[in-house]
Amino acid sequence: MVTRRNLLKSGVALGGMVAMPSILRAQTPTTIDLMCTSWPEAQQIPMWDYFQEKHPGVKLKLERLPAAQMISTLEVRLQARNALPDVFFVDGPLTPSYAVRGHLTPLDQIFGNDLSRYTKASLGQGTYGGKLMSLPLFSSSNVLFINEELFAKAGVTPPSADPAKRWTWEETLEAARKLTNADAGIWGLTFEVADQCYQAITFPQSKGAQVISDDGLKATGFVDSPKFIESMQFYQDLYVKHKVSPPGVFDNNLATEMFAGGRAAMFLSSTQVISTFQARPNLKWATAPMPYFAGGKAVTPTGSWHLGFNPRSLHKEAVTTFIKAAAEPEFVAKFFKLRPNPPVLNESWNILGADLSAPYWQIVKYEMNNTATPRPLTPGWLEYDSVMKVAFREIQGGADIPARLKKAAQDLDRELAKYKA
Amino acid sequence: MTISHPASTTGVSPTLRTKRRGRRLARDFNPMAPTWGVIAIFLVPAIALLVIFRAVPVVISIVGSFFRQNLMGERSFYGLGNYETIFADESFWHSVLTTLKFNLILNPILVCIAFGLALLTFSPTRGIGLFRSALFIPMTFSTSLAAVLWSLILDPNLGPANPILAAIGIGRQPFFLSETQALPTMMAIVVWKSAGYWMIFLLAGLYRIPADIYEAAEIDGANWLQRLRYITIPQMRRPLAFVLVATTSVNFLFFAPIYIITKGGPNGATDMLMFRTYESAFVFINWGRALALSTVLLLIICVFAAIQLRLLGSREGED
Repeated sequence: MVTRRNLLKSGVALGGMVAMPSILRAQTPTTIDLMCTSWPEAQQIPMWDYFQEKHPGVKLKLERLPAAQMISTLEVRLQARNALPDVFFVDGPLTPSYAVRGHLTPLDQIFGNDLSRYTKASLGQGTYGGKLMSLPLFSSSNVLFINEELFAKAGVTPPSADPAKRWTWEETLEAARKLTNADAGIWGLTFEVADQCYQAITFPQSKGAQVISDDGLKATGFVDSPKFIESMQFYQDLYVKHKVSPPGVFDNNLATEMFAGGRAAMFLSSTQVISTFQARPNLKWATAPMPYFAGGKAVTPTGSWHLGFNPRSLHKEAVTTFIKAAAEPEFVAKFFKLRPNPPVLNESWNILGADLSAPYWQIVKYEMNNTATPRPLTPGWLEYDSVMKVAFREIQGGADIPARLKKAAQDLDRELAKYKA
Repeated sequence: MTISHPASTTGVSPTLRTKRRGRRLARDFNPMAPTWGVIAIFLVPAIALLVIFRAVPVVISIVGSFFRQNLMGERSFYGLGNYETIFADESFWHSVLTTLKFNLILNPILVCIAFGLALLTFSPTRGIGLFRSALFIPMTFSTSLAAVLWSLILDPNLGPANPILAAIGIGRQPFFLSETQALPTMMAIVVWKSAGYWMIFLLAGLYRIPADIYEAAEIDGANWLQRLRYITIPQMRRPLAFVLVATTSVNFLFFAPIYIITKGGPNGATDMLMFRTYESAFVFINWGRALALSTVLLLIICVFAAIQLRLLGSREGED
């Protein structure tokens, strides 16, 4: 029988049926797929947990891979042009490469004019075509780590921590020769990533060489320029002529362990290794600014990981929430404490005052403001980095430098041609 | 009332009918001449897998090599453009030469070593099973693991190989860092890893040779070398042809150790076509060129396999 009460009951039931999916949706968190590097869990998982606690409506599904494999995997996944991963780590200099191929959502619309909070270098690395295409997570800088005991044993006075009194590469080589003890298996100087552009291109840059054309699409005349060749001769001599650096050490963990284990007297590295050294109470270490070539200029590497937003993601709202959260000063500060890389927000340097008071952070702060040189802005960075990596390895192994750099330039020009179209 | 079974009307019991049917089936099913239905049941799964995982990718690869993709992933017909580009590239020809050099040197050596091991382990001696297993063990390592293992052992600075070589007076070696040693070292890794595996196939071939032929030869006074020359090798033509073709097709696609250890270096010494194909697809983001390279590689393998089969195929009258 149609009564007012029955009508009311039916109305409530119908309303409930209509509203139920929305209520359920509101209660079920949206899962977004995050592809990131496989750093030690302690250095990142607490960050993702922190985000999920603050934003219970978003759940992160992690795909963790070693950095090099992650970049290769991303290539395949992004080229498939589907919705996954929703958000992914971007190696800073790869931003233009992903941007020109339509793999990144411009982030200006999320942050508007709120970008002045970022350090200039980190913002520059994430910007392409005048738009912010990837969000800087943190930055990086290099310092020269010194094993004080090995210096004392060899009777060498360590370099000053004052950037104005930094050693030249020539002085560093002299010290390395005195510090190297082949019989005891001790090397004078090692590098965190000796074969990667991140560190290796600072040699020609310090000599004043331009490492790629202004438009980032031509290598001949730059990669094989006289200054580039001259700097690579110095680099090769460290391994082949003077034998002060261990050839073939391309694994950053191995290089770090060589210094931590007292097998290397000097170690040029980013600051992320500090926690490893702090965990070794017997290791007496100090830091100095990165050397430069006499007659050249001080150049230090910078740039690090950013976040990219897949434009084909089906969960744009949830990804926006995640990206916004990653730009919060609290997030940046917490991440810094887990993984001590220079923060990308200007204000973090004030917030983290006490944490950034150590002498090495003073050096880093100076370098970030004065000598930090981002890797060149080119859509062909993936190609540039890959081709030059092999060239650096072979030069280190004793290859004929002009011929090898000429070949690298030819290979690069062939691969960069596609971006001209 | 008695309900009679249809069988009982013919005067033949059901048990007898079943027995007769079984006999008829047994008579019809001749394992030496199976019906088409039986053949299909056994072949279809294998053929389906071959088509899905081999033939279809090959067709996709060949068709794709006539297309190019722009930066936004849009494909357009490019005709022979990808082939013109790779043939005009000097470094492609360098890769072809390196690939040919690697295979022309490695495969005969590998087959000879595998054959030698098969002959050594053929005689039923005490503990021979253990010896065969030991030779087969390297095959159980994944290629990537073997590459990492050998890169650590042969690391010129930190690996255990150089101190041993220095101690016995040979001196420290650069291995993968040397233009002249990198390719031979790669070959040595392949031999270490796969000789025991191919040995098993050749061992099976040796067991197939009838013992009475050897007995007759022994009665005729043939020594070990003569028996090898006139009986074993001719009788092993088919297993040897199979192993040679199989090793050729596997080793032309040699990739993982190069990717893990040398990246094609030093100075292009290990820059082989398979690595170049990978690099084109996943580093240089040029799918059209990568597919053209893989098609060229496929053609080279087919040509080599055809030549090898012709040279080593069984002659008329031979088993």
